Amino acid sequence: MPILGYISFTVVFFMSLFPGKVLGAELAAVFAIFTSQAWNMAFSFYQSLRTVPRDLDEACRGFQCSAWQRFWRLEVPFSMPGLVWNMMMSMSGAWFFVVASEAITVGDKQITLPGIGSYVARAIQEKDLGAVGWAILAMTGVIVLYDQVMFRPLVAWSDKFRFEQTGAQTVPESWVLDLARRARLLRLVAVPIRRTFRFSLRFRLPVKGIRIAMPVPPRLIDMVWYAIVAAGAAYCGWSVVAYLSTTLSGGDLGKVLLLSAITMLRVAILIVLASLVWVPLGVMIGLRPRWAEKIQPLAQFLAAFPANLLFPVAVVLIVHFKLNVDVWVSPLMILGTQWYILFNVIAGASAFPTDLKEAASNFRMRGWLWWRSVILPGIFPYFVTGAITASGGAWNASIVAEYVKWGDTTLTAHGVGAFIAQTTEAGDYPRIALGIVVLAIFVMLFNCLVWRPLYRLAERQLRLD
Amino acid sequence: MSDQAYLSIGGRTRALWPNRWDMVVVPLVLGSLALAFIGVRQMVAPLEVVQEAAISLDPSNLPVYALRTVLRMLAGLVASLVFTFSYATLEPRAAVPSLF
Repeated sequence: MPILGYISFTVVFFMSLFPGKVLGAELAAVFAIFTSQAWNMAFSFYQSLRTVPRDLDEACRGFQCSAWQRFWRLEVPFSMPGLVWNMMMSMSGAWFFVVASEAITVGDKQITLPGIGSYVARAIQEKDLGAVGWAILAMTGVIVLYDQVMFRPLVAWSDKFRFEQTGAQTVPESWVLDLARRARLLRLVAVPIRRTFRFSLRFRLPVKGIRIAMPVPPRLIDMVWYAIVAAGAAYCGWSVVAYLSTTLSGGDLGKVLLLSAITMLRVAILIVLASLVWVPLGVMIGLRPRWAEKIQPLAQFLAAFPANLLFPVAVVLIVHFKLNVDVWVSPLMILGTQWYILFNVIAGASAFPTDLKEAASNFRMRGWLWWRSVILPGIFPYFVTGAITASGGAWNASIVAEYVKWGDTTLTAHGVGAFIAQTTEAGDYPRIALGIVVLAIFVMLFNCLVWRPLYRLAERQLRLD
Repeated sequence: MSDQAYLSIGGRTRALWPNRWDMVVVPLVLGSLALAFIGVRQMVAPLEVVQEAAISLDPSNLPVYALRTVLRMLAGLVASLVFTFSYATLEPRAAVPSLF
């Protein structure tokens, strides 16, 4: 089954780069994983860059750090805890896409890359619950492995970058990190690399950044850049319209707009519901490092558990109880993405400075007052990041979730995701393009009208300075 | 600084002598390198190999499938990290992320 519409295009592109090799299809799958996680990591990093505390920023200016030094000495360390959390959660989200992207259709050719995803796809095709069970087992193993070997050490290591004035009571630990630190032969490799890196940090040649060296004012460069972008966008828009108008009528557009509105309603309701559940829980967990340590692997497993595996169960249940497909398919969309909110709120609550926490308890702030004036403002930037990524993920997941299969049983809900999935299966390229374009416009509007104001609010009024 | 001291205080021979932790770490590192090599070599194989061998539901194939998936995820993660650092650094002047 083809997934996100653009995959069919990227596969053609990458396959033409490496004709006759698996590498092309491999890269297309990697690209799908990349697109599913890169923007959300970039967003976390971006948010950290914008909220670098002013005193650290001034110190950095005082030392006349070059852009390179500032990047590695201030910005990367400061953003590290948040970034590690986001990497973990992107990884979890990406499993959802692996299941979909390993079985790729190129025109009339079906390329199945060996992997857990294609194994599961095959199991769904053949209605083999036992194989699904084995896949879950293998997936569990892989997730645990990833957690122990990669993310635990990263969390333990990035803990030293936490920004606060008082020391924390508990420190995350990792046996892999301890092992790596104790082994001597590993040092033999690590020390020269580290020395080279530190040596590169001594240079501060472009003291005030590159901008000063430019002969033209930055405003002009910006204008030229925006002009190029606008021209490119106009050209793309014009060619899309020209391509679509030959085959499609206004009726199609109206239908897709209506379907997108339905999907948008679904996303909005799901985000509100998920926030009501996960914000309080996330705060409770995040403020207790010991809990966070125990719950994090569990939550990570739940998040990584590809929702696609639960789809068959949902199909069976919906058919059995004759439920409304439009309502009961919706939870599948949020199944994989609600964790973005939980993870971010946990990260926000555990990064909440201990001194502020202690001040609040000295003032005996409790109950609703504590929530409203202490913790909610404290975690708000994190929450907004989480909610933005969750809604983005839900939009993405709609393509898979509104059109679910188990063997030869198919359930279709009303929504633009089902529209794209159906047209992709039928190979109806103009309508795929129309669906993707309208979906993209809706996502952009949603972001402009809802998330952008909230994000500005978080940035302007709720900084931890 | 600390590693400099570490290397010079113990003397060159003692500092470089493998300790008992190396017994565990070195095989682990070498093993994962070997696995990664096997996986990557399969990645660059000709296309016919993949098309002929259909996915089998036999659980004994799962470890190999898992290895391929893990490498794919790792490649995606590295690419995302590079993208994150370059995108966010090149775009700090805009008022809001232009991704949206």
